[in-house]
Amino acid sequence: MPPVIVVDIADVKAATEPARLVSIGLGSCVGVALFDSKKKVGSLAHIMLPFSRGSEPVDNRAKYADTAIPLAIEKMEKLGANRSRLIAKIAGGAKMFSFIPKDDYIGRKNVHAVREVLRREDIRIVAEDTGGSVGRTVEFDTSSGTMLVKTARLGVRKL
Amino acid sequence: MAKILVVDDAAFMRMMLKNILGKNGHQIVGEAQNGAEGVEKYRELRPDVVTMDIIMPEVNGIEAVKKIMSIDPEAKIVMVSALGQEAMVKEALEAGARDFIVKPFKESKVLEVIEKLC
Amino acid sequence: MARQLILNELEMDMLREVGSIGASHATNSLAEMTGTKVSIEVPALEIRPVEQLISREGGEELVAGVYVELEGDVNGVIVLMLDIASALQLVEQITGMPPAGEELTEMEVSVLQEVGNIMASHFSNALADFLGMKIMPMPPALAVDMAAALLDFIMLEQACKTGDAILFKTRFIFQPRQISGNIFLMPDPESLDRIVTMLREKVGLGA
Repeated sequence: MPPVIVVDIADVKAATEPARLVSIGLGSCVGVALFDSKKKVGSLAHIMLPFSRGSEPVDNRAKYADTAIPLAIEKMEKLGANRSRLIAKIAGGAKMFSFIPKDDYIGRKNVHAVREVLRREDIRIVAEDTGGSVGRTVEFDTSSGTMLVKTARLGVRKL
Repeated sequence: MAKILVVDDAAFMRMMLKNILGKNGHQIVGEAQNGAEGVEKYRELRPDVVTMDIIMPEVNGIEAVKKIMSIDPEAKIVMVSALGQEAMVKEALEAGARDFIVKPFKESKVLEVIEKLC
Repeated sequence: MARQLILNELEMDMLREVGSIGASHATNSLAEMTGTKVSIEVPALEIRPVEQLISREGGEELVAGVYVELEGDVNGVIVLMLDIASALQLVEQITGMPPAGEELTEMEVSVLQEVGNIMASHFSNALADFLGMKIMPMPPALAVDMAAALLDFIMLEQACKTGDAILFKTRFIFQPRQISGNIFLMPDPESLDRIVTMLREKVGLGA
C-alpha cells in the first residue's frame, strides 16, 4: 500500500510517487483532490475558508479555496502534471450540528467557493461527497486516483 | 393537589418533573415542548399551575408567560430554568411569573414552590 | 475584521479570571446534577489561528458535542464536549439507567442536551451577573462524530474572517468514574471587546 501523507487543515500536498494523501475529520472544511491520470500526479488541499481578501498579502495560500486550488495546480505542474488534464474529486462542507437553524454555514460557503474556483480553472468535478451533517476523513490514492471517504458511523464510500 | 402543565423542550426534564410532582400527590394534566405548544395546552387544559422553562425553540418561556397572562391574568406560572441571571429573573417576574426555580434544582425546592402557590 | 485582537497581559489575566468564574459555575452545576465531585484544570484562554487550535484539540475519536449558541451582549457559542464513553457514563450517572447500546437513544440525547443547556446557562449567568450583561443561550444541539470534524465546524463558525478564534477552554474530570470532558466558550471579537471594556471599567481603567 502506498505510504500515507497527512494533509493537515490549511495545507496542500502534491505527490508523484504513489501516496495516500489523507485529511482527517473534515467538518466545515473541504478536501479537494486533483488528479492527472496520465502522469499519475495527484494533490489534496484541506481548505478551511472560501475566499481570501484579494488585496492583502495572504498569510497562508492553502487556507482559502481561491488561493489553495491555484497553489495545488502549481505544485502539480512542478511535478510534471498538465493542468488541462486535471480532474477533481471533492468532499466535506458539512453542517455538523444539523438542528441549528443556520443556512449560511461555512461548509456550504466553502463548497460553493470550491466549485466556483474549479470552474474558473476549467477543472471538472468528476465525483463529490459534500454537505450533509457527517464528518469525513478522506484518503486520496495518487496512483489510482481513487478517493475513499470514511465516516465515523456510516462506513466508507469510494469516489 | 394541583393540576399541572409541564413545559420544557427536554424530554428528560419533563420526565423528571412529572416524576417528582406525580409521586407527591399532584396531577400532571399535560406537557409541552416549546412555548407555542405551552400556550395552546394552557388554553385547552386550564391547569392550576404551569412549570415553564425559558430556553426553548419556536417561542421561549418568557414570551409564553406573556401570552398566557394575556389569556388569563390569574394564571400561576413557575419558571424552571438554568437561566438564573438577575436580568432574566426580573424579566420573568415582570412578565407575570409567580416564582423562579433555578436548575439544577432540589426536589424539595420544587415541591415547596408548588405548594406555596396552591 | 475591523479590529485587531491585541490584548495586554492585564486584559488577558482579567479575561482568564472571568472565564474561570464561568467555568466553575458551569462545572458546579454539573456536580449538582450528578451528585459527585467534579474537578477542573486551570482554564486556558487563547486567541489564535483556527488551524492551530483544531488539530491540537481532536482527531478521529468519537465524541458527543452539545452546541449552545449565545445571543445578547455576548455573541458566540458554548460547547460541551466529551468522548463517547464519558458521555454514556455521564447519562448513567444522572439517570441511574445503563446505556442502551452503541447508538444514543432519544432519552440519552435529551439528557446530554439538557446537561449542555444547564452548564451553558450557568456559565452565562456567572458572566452576565459579573459583567452586568444579558446573555441568552439558544436551545442546545447535539452531534456525535469525529472530534476533529465537530471542532472544525465549531471553530470556523466562530472565527472572524481571517480565521482567528477566541477560545476559553476548561477541562473537567469526575474522579470516581473517570468521566472527563471539556467546556469551551468562544465569543466573537466584538463581544470580547465589550467584555474587556466592562472589565477595564470595573478595575478603574479608562477605555
